[in-house]
Amino acid sequence: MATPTRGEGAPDRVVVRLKRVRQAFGRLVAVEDLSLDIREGEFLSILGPSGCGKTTTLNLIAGFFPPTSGTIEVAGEDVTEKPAYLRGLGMVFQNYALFPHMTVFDNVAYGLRMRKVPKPEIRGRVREALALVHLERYEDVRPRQLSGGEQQRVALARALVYHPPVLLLDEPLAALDKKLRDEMRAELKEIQRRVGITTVFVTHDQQEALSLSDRIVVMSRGRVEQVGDPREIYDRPRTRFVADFVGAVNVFPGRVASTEGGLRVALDGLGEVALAGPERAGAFRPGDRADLFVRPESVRLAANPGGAAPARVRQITYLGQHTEVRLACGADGNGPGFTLLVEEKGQGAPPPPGTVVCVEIDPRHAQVFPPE
Amino acid sequence: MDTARSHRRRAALRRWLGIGTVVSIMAFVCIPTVVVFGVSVNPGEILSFPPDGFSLAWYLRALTYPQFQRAVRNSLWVTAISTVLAVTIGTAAAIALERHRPPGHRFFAGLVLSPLIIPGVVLGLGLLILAAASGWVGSPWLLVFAHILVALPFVVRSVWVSLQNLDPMLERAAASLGAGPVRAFFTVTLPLLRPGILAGVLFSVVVSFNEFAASLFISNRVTEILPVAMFNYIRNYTDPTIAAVSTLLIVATAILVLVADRIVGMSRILQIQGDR
Repeated sequence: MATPTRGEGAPDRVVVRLKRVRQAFGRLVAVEDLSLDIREGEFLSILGPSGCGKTTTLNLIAGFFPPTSGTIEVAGEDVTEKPAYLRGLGMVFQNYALFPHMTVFDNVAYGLRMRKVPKPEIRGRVREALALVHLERYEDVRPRQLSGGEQQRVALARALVYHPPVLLLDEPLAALDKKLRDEMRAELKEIQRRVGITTVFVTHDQQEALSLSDRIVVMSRGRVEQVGDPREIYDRPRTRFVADFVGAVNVFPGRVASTEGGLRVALDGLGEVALAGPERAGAFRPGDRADLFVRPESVRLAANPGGAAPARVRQITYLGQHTEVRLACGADGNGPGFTLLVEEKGQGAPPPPGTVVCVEIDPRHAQVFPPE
Repeated sequence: MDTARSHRRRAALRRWLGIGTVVSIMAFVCIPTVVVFGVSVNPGEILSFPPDGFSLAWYLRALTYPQFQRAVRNSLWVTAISTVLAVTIGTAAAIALERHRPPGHRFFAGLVLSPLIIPGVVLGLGLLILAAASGWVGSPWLLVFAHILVALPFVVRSVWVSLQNLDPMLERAAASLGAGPVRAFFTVTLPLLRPGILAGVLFSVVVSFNEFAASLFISNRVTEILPVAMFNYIRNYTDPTIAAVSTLLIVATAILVLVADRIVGMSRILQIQGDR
């Protein structure tokens, strides 16, 4: 088998391969026609709203139930019909699922005991795993006595101690409060990098996905919407769903003015925006209705009013680092609403509500999709 | 000032009403026991209360009466065997009904719990007719069978409560860590169901040891268990021996429950925990 190479010539070994996987629960289709290669050592996030099939996908990789159709390979072996306990993968559950009747030590040792590892070796390896998550002194404690963050670390140690080929994480940060979540996120990334383990991370939090992942799979209604690195997903969303779900976005309705050498869109009440590059035209024809998707950070208050479009300030919200300004298109403020961000330390105080201002749209990261 | 005082007076009234209620309930519950105990130490040959003296003679007679000795042995055997079987069957049934939800699980749950509402007399009569038709009359296994049926609802209920507290994700976690279904069951599921199973054992022992109505129909002089032997005794004699046996039975049961509470904590068993 020829291994495809890229970049510096590092082989991209596929550790998990899903081929045309479909999962139906009765009449409900949770996952539809999912094909995905997960490469060795990468941190892959599956991102989507609840009910999109991301957790089902993770459970299928884990082997808790066989897919309705399709095949699953781990390390080149077809494991479609293999139950979870024979797959040898590591998993961290959303509520940690630590065994409450066992100490931290016994929890972490469980996977090693199932593998009949000799007793003296178990002691050393459990210590090693607990050291990795900075919980050396908690061996004899019961999970119930630990904080959420500590339980999280035990769950991680328990899943890593037998060196599984893949680590599966089911929303592991969702149950933590904000500050702890940010800390654990950094630590998770650090541990993953140090161990170098292939990781599949399921989350509904786009910020977690963007900050942790090498690649992101965005899912919606059981289907893959887009696969790409965080920058691609954020800057070049391929579908309306991805543009809308990942990050904040403004939607400006308009009409295609021209498709010559690029795409020019006449926005309702905001003038024309030109997207350079012939590939931008896509299947659009002049006169088609089109929606322009622009991130708040790509909309600016114009310094000089000439050439920019008028809008009326509706509301300003102080967010610390910056201030969010909600506006409505047109000098009368009757057009569609949108949002932009004003750097707190930059352009001075944002205009008060009711002011008519002029805005500019930076078209570089804008996307155009047909209306729904 | 005035409102504060009346407020305090009302609080005191409420307190005394509360204490009064508790005391009356306790008295109400304890009266039969107190009477039986009083009768059992009566030196005379009749069942009379209050006692006109103090004597332990009837206890000696109770402990040495051959038919009671045989009945206690029968009781212990029937209780032991039916408890082991009822707890095994009941635990399996609770897990199957709660976890796997087979078709018609509601119907089966109702069936398993039905001995709670079926009178023992009906159960005993049914079993007697069945035994007569199949030539099993007088078999001690008939008693075991009846006691399993009577104890089963208690076992299923208490294991079911433990199952409610058991996070199904734990079994998945065990599987992800390499434990097959059997090992996962014995290392994770069963240890976590332990409180419910122990409660089931306790209920089963108490219910079986005190079972009377159904057992009366299906036992004879050789197989009869203690409550039946007591009933037969009181039909023939009216001396305080029966009160002495009753007192011993009450004390034995109380010790059992207290010890069980010490070991496993009954209060912990019988509640559904809020947090998981």
